[in-house]
Amino acid sequence: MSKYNTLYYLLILLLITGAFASMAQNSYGIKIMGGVAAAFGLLFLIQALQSFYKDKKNPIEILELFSLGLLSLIICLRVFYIHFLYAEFVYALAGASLIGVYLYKMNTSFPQILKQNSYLAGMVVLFYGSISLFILSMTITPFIPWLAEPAGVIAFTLIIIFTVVSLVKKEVLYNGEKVHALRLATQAEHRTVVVLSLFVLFSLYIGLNKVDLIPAIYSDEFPKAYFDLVNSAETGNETPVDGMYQHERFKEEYDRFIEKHANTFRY
Amino acid sequence: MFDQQPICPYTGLRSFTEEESLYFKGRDQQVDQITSLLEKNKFLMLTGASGEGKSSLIYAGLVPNARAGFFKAKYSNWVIADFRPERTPVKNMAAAIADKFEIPQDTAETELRRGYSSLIDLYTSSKYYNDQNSDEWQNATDEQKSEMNRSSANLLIIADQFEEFFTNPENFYNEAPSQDSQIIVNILLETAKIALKKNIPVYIVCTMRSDYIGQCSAFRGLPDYIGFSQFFVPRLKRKDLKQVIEEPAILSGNRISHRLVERLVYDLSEGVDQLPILQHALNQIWRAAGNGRDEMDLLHYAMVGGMPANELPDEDQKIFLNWYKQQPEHQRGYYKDTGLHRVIEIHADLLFENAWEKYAAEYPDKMISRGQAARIISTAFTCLTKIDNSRAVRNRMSLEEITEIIHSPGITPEIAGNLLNIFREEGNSFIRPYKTEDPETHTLSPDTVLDITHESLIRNWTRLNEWANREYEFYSTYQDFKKQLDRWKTSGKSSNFLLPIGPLSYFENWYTECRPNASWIRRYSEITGNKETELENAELQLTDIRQFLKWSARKVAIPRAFMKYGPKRIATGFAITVMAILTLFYWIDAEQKQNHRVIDNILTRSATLLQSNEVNNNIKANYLLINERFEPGSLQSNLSQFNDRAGLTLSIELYKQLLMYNKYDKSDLKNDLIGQIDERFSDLLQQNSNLSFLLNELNKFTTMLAYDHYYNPDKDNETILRNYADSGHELAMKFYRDPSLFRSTIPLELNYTIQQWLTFGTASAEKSEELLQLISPFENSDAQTAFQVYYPRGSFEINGRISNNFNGGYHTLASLYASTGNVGKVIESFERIRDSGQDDYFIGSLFNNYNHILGIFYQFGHRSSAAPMIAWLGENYESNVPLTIYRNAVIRAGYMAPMYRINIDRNIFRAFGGYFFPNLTLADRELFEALNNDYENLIRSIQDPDERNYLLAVNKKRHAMFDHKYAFDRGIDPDLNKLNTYLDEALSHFRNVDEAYLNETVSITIPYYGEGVRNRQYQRRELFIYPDYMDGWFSQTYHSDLFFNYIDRNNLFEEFYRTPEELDMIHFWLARAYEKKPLMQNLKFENEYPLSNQVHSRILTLMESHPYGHSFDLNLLSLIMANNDFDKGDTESAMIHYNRFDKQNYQVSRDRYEYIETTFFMNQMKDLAVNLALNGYHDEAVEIAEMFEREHEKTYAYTFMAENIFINSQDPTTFVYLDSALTKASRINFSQFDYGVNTQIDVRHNLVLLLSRIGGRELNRISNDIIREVIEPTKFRGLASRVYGVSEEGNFYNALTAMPPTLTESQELFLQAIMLWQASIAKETEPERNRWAPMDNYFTHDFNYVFYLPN
Repeated sequence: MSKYNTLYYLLILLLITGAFASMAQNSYGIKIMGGVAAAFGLLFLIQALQSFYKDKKNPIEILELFSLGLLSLIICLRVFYIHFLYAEFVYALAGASLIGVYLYKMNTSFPQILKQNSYLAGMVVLFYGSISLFILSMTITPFIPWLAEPAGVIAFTLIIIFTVVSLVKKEVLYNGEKVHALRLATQAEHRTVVVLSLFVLFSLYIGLNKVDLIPAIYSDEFPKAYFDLVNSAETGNETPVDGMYQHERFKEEYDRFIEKHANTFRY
Repeated sequence: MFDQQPICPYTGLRSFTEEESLYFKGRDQQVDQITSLLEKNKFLMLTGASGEGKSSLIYAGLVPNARAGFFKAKYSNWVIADFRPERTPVKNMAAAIADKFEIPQDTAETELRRGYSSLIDLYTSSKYYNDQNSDEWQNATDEQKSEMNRSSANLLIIADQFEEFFTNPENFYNEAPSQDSQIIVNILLETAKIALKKNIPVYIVCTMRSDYIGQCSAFRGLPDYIGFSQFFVPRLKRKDLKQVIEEPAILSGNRISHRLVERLVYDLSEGVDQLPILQHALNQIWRAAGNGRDEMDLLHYAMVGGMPANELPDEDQKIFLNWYKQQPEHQRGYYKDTGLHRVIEIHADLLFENAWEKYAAEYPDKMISRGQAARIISTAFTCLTKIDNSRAVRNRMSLEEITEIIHSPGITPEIAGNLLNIFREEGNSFIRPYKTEDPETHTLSPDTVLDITHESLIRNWTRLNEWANREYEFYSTYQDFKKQLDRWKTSGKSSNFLLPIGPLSYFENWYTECRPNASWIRRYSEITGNKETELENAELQLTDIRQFLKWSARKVAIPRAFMKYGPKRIATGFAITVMAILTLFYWIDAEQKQNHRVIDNILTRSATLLQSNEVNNNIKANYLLINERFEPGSLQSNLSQFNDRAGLTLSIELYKQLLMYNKYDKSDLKNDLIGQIDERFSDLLQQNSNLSFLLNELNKFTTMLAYDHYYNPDKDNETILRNYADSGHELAMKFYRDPSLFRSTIPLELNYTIQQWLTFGTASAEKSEELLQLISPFENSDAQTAFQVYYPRGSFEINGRISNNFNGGYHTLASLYASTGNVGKVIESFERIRDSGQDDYFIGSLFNNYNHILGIFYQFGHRSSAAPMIAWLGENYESNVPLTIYRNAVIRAGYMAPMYRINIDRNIFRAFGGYFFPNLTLADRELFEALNNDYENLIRSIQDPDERNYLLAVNKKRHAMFDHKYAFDRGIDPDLNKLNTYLDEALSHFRNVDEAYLNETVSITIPYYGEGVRNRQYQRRELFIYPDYMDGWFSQTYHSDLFFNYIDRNNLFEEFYRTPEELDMIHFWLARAYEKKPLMQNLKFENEYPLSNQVHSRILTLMESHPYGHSFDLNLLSLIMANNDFDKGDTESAMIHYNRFDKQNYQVSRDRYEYIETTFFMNQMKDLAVNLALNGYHDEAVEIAEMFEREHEKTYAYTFMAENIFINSQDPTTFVYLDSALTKASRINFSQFDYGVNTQIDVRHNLVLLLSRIGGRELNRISNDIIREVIEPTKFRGLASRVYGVSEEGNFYNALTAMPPTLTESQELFLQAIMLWQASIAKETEPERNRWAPMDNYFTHDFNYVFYLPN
C-alpha cells in the first residue's frame, strides 16, 4: 500500500491548506477539505476493492479499508453540510468496525512484540489505544457527547506520550534491528498512521482553536445558523421530525428564498 | 580418562597439510609424476584448475613423498621454505627463508635483493649444503663430517598461489609486473637454473591456477621454464573419487555407507571445484553424522542440503522430518533447493544468518544490530575477494583494514573479529586463520591478515559472489569516476569539466550505494608503502570526490531535477511547495482576519479618530464607553490622551451619555467621571483663561449634575452641584466686570448660569446685589454700560418657541432682584419687557416667565414681597389673576419637568430652543409646598363653592400625584397615607361640586409626542375622573396608577364612570401609559412607571361588569395583555387576549387618537404578530401582519417576525417570513420616504440588519443590493445596520469590510463603536451583560421600533 503514501500525504497537506484557506474566510477552503475527504474515501474504497479481489484475501484489511472509506465519505458529506437519515448510525458502525480492527491488530502484535521487547509492546498499546480512542471519541459524539471529549483528550494524550517517549528513547533492538518505535509504527501501518495523523491534526485544530491560537474554520456558504443546526443534528442533540432534521428544513427554505429573491433588489 | 576429540578426515575447503597426508587419497600417480619431474628439472610449475588440489598435491603428496625418501636427491633431509606472493612477495619469501635459515628477516630480504643468485648463495653458504669438494670438508674430522652430513638437507622452495603475482595490483599493474615480483620470479628461475647446472639440491615448485598461464609471459624467461617443466593436475577419475571419499573414513575408523559413496560420486557433476565441494560436503556429512560416530549415510547428506529428503529411504525420511521440524523457520527454506553444489552455499548462508544471534549471545555487552552485523560480514568478505580479469579471487586483508573500510561508528576490529569468528571455527573453515583449540586463535588481533580459505567459496556462495561482483562494480565505477575526477582536477576544477546530468546521476548513485571512505579508496589507490600517507591521499581524494559531485550537481540542479525526479515527482514537489506557501499565506491572512485582530486594529484606528476634531463628542463618548465595556479601565487611559479642554468636554459628554443610558446610574464609573471633571475644572478655573469655554462646559456639567441629583439624590453630588453653581456665579461676575469678554453666545449662558446659581448655589441677597451692581442698568452707569454690552435691545434669547428681547437680560435682572426681595426693581424689569412688546412673557407659553420670578421670591424668603408683582401682573394682563399665576407656578414645580431635556440635549426639539430654567422644577421641595399652600389659600378664598371645591379637588389630586411621582423618580418610598389623605380630600371636594358645573367643558392643553401640544375640550368631571392628572402641557398626562388604584380600592368606578365617554378616560390613560416614543432620547425623560398586569386585569374585569363596558374599546388592552402574556410565556392566556382582539374593527382602535398613538397601537400589533409567530401560530401571525394597510407596514411586520424567530430559535420559517418581507418590500416605492422625518420609516434598514444577522454569502449579497438602492443621506443608517448585523453574526472582519472607505471620520468611529459593542457582548458573562443592559437598550431601541407616519 506504500504506493498510496505520497497521495495520502499530499491529501493531508491539501487538507491543511484547505483548512487554513477556510480559516482565512475563503469559501473554497471548505470545498478543498470536502474534496480531500472524498478523495480519501475513494482511495480507501478502491483499496478495499483491490484487497477484495486479491487471491489471498485479508478480511481485516478489507473491513478496515471499507470502514475508513465509509467514514471519509460521511465526513465529506459533513464538510459540505449534507446530512442524511441514519448517518450517525452508519458512522458509528464504521467507527466500531475500525475500533475492532485496530484492537485486533493490537492484540495480534502485542504478545509477539512483548516476547522480545516490553517497551515496544507498550508503545504498540499506546499507538493502537490512541487511534481506537480517537475513533471512539468521534463515533460516540452523537450518542454520548459527554464522553466523547474526554475520550478524545485521552487519545490525544496517549499519542503525545507515544511520540515523546519514542523520540526520547530513540532506537531499541527488535528482531536484531535497531528500530524506532515511531518508525516501527509508521512503517508497519502506513494507513493507520495516516488516519492517526488526521485525528491528531483534527485534535490540534480543536485544541489550538480553543485556546485561540488559530481561527475557526469558516464558511459563508450558508448562514452560520445552518451550520449550528447541522452540528446539533450531528451531535445527537436533535430528533428528526417527520423524518427531517431542522437543518434540512432550514436549507430547503433558505434555498427557496435565495432562488426567489436573489435578484429582488438588483435593478 | 580422556575425552578424545574425534578428528575429521575431511579437510573441507582448506587444502591438505603435510600432517594430513594419510587422508590424502586418489593422487598417487600424480605424486609420482611430479616427483619425477622435479627430480629431473629442479623446477616445477604445477598448474591446474582452481579447486583441483594443487596445494594439497604438493603439501600432502610431494612433500611427504620426499621426506619419505621417494624423492631421489642429494641429501636425505629436506628444508622446505614455502611462501605465497600475496602483495609483498619479497617480504614473504624473505620471511620463509629467514625462518628456515635462522637468519633475521631483514638480512634475508637484503640478501634476496642483492642478486638473483642470492638464494643459491644463501643455501650453499648454509649448514644445509655440504660440498664435499670444499676445503672445509676435506679438512674435517670424521666426527665433523658426520655432523655435516646430518645437518645437510635439500632445499625445496614452494611458491604457492603463484597467480598472486598477477592478481594483486601491487605485483602486477597495467600488464606489467612490479619490481619485487620480478625479483622473486627471477630469483626462483635463476635458482632453478643454477641448481640444475651445478647440481645443487635446491628445488623450486610453483603452484598456479592454469587460467593465469598466459600472463606468465610478462616475466622474462618464465614461459621457457614452464615449457621446460610443467605439470597440469588432471581431474580425478571415478575410482579415485571413491578413494577420496571412502578411504579417509576407513582410515580414521569412521564408516560411510556405500550408497552415500555412490550418490556422492554420482552427484559430483562435471565442472570446477569438484574436490572442494566434495571435501566440504564430506566434512559436513561427517559432522552431521555425530562427528563420525554414526555411519555417514544419505540421511546426513540430506541434512546438509546435498539431496532432497523425498529421495531418502522411507525410514530416513521420517527421521529427517523430525529433525527438519526442529530447525528454525528461516533455516528450513534452505532445504527447498538442494544438491551437492549447494552444500557450501547452505552452510555459508546459515552461518551468515546465525552470525548475529551467536554474537549477541556471546557478547551481550557489546551489542550491535542485525543490520550492522550483516554489513560487517558482507564488507569483510567483500574485502577478502576481488575480481581479477572477470574472475572472483581471494584477497588477503588485515582485520584493521577491513574495519576501517567498514567505517561505521562503534564498530571496532574487536567487534568485527568476534563477529567473523563463526567463519573461522572448526568445521566452518571459510576464513583463515582458523580458530583452533589454541586460545590465542580465538581472538583476532587488528593486524591479523584474513584470507578466504578457498576460492571455491566465492564461486559456490551466491551471496558472496554477489557481494564480490557488486564491489567490483563499485570499484569499476570508481575507476571510471576517478578518470573524470582527474580531468576535472587537471583543468583547475573548471566548471566545463563538471559532470553532465547522466553521468552525475550514475556516479551519485555509486557514491550513495558504495559509501566510499578513505580506507576504501586507499584499497584501490596507488601503493606507496606508507599507510598514513596513503590515508591522507585517500582523504584528499574523498574530499575532491564530494566536491566534484556537489559542484556538478549544483550546475545541473534544475534540468536534472526534471530528469531525475520525473514530471510526477516534480509536480508533487511543486504541489507541496505551493501548498506550503499557500498554507502559510492563509495562516497569516486568517490571523489578520481573526476577530481579536480586527478589534485590535479597530482600537488602534479609533485612537486616531478620537483625536480628530471632525468627530463629534457624542460619538466619541459612546465609543469610549463601549471601549470601557470592552476593556474595563480603558476609559481612564483614553481620556488621559486628550488635552485639558478636550478632555473636559469629553468627560462631561461621557457623564451625560452614561445618564442617557441609565438615568439611575449609580456606578463607580460615573462617580469617577464626576471626579475627573471636577479635577479638570479646578485646573482650568485656576488658569483663569478661556472663560467662554469654561462657562459653556460649566453649564453643561451643572445641568447634568442637577439631572443626576434629581434621579439619584446624593449628598456628595449635591455639594459638587452647589460648588459648580457658585463657580458659575464667579464666572458671571468676571464677565460682567469685563465687558470685553463679551461673545454673542455668552449672554444666554450667563443667564442660565445665574439661574443655576440661584437654584442650586449658595446665593444670597448680598451676592445678588453685588451682581446687580455690575450689570443692572438700574444701579449705575458702569452697570448700564455692561448691560448694554451683554443685553442690548434687539438681541434675542430663545425662550421655548419665542425669543426674548434684550437677550433675556431683564428676566435675569428680575430674578436677581427677586432674590433680594426688591419687587420694585422686579416690576421695573417687567416693565422693560412689556415695553419691548414681549407680551408672551406674561401671557404666552414661554419656557421661562414671571412664574419663575414668583418662585425665586419664595425660594429666598421674600414670599410676601411678591404681592406687588402679582398685582402688577393682574393690572397689566387681565388673564393673569393670582389664581392662574399660582396654578401655573405649582404645575411647573412639582417634579422634574419634561422640558428640562432641552438643557441636556440642545437639539432634541424642533419647536423649542434656549434653556429651560430649573428654579421651579428643581428647587427645594419646600418651594413647591409653599407655592401649593398659597395657591390653596387663594382657592379657599373663592366665593363660588363649586369652583372652590372643584379647584381644591383638582389641586389635592395633583398634590398627591406630583408627590408620588417625585418619590418614584427619586427612588423614595412615598408616604401613601399622606397621599391617600390628599386623595380623600380631593374626592370629598369633588363630591361637593355641582353636577352642572362638572359637566361644563373647559379647554385643556395637553402634550403629545414630546414637543407638541393639543387643545382639547373636556368636561371638568372628566378631568377629575381621569385615572391620572391631566392639566396643562407642563404636567403631562401619565404619571402612575396611584389614582386608578385609589378609585379601585374605594369602589369608585361606578360613581366615576357612568357613561361610555367617561369610561374612555380610562382608555386614554391606558394609551398614555403605553405610549412608547420612537427615539431613544425621548425615553430618557419619560416616567417609565410600569402598569402591572393586575391593573390590566382590573380594567378588563371592570369593563366586563360595567353596564357600558361593552362600549369600551378593548383592542388596545387586548394587544397589551396578549403581548405581556406572550412575554411571560403564558401562551394560553395570551391567546385568550388575542382572541378578544377585534380584527374586523381594529382600524377604529388604531385611529382613535392622533398618529403617535396610532404608531404605538401598530407597534403593539407588530409585537403581537411576532409573538404569534414565535409561538407557532403562523396563520394568526400572518393575518395580523396582513392587517397593516401599506406595503411598508406589512414589510415591517414580516421583517420583525422573521427576525425574532431567527434570533429566538433559528427556525426555518424565518425564511418564509423573510420571503414575505422581501416580496412586500419589492413593491414599495421607497422614494416616498426620501425626505425629512419620513426617511426614518425606510424598512430597508431593518431588512439589511436582519439579512446581516442571519449572514451567509447570498444574504449578504442581497443586503448589499438593498443598501445600494438607499439614497445617500440615509445610506449610512443602512451601513450601520449592516455592520451591526454582521458583527452580531460574529464575523468582525466581514463587518470591517462592510465599511466603505468614503465614510467620514465620525461615521467611521460610530461603526467601529458598533463593532466594539458587539465584541463586548460576545465575550461578556451574564452579570457583565446585565451591568451594561441600559446601553444595549439605548442602542437597540430604535432598531426595534417601527415608525408609522402618515403618508
